[in-house]
Amino acid sequence: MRILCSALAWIISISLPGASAAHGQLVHTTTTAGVPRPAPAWDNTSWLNAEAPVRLDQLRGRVVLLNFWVFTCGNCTRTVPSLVEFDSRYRREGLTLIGIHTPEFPPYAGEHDRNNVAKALARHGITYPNAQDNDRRTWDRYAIRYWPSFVLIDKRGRIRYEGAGEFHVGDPTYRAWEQRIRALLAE
Amino acid sequence: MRLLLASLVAAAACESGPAPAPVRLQAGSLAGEAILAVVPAHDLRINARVPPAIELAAGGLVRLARGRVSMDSSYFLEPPWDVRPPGIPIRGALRVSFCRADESVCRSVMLPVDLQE
Repeated sequence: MRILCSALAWIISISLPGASAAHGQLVHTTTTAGVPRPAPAWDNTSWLNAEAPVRLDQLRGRVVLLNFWVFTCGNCTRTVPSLVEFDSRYRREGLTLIGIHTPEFPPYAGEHDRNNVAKALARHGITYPNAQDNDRRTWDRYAIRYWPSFVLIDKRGRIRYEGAGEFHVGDPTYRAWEQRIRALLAE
Repeated sequence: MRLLLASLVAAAACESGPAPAPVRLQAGSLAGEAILAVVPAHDLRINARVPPAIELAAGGLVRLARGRVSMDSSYFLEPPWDVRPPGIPIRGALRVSFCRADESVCRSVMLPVDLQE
């Protein structure tokens, strides 16, 4: 059998942003001329672990950590224990953790299915709100490129830190994120 | 099986485009059956929780989900493969989720594919 394999051009959905890549992490501080930019509002309508859609303007006065993830991503699910820990330790102090569940594949892969997302939340012990971002609208608004990614928003609704990549409870990246959370909670 | 898949990795039957692709689709045979496999670049791991799929231009889907996976089922330990559907042109887009070990992130790629016998 003769193989004619034509990879005409490869279209990669993501490329390295202007971020530092150290120790496997893609983390950078986001400021524009010293002024953090406002976090874009999201308008996802399908939420889990929330009685009603969560809106950004409802969260003024709280620090918000967005986690862009998908349950089929091992890097994402291995980071979940850290996020659950953050939620447990800092929710009462003013942190709101929000998962933005963004499928990687088309619907045939099952990532768009609300029941599958619900099972993943239960499996990983996630009790904080999660939005289904099946059309990637919020992903695009935040110019996300990787699973998992993180956006830390201050009490005034401004993006202060962005990053991507798996981390684990107690490791240097975990401690860095925790330090950022604590700093913003203290503002 | 492993020898076959290893040979698929080693073979250079596919020509890629101007930029090195993170994965490539290869055709081979196994026990007299034609198969398709997705071969990653040496430093990449293919996500096993959402296995590669070829979205056929004519409609339909070919999933390439066979192959050994890691203990936590996150990654394929060998090029994922499946039997090539007989009599169907493999023309369309190959979608693959993959991870670079040194980045700790997942990303996906779509490659146009056009396999002819």
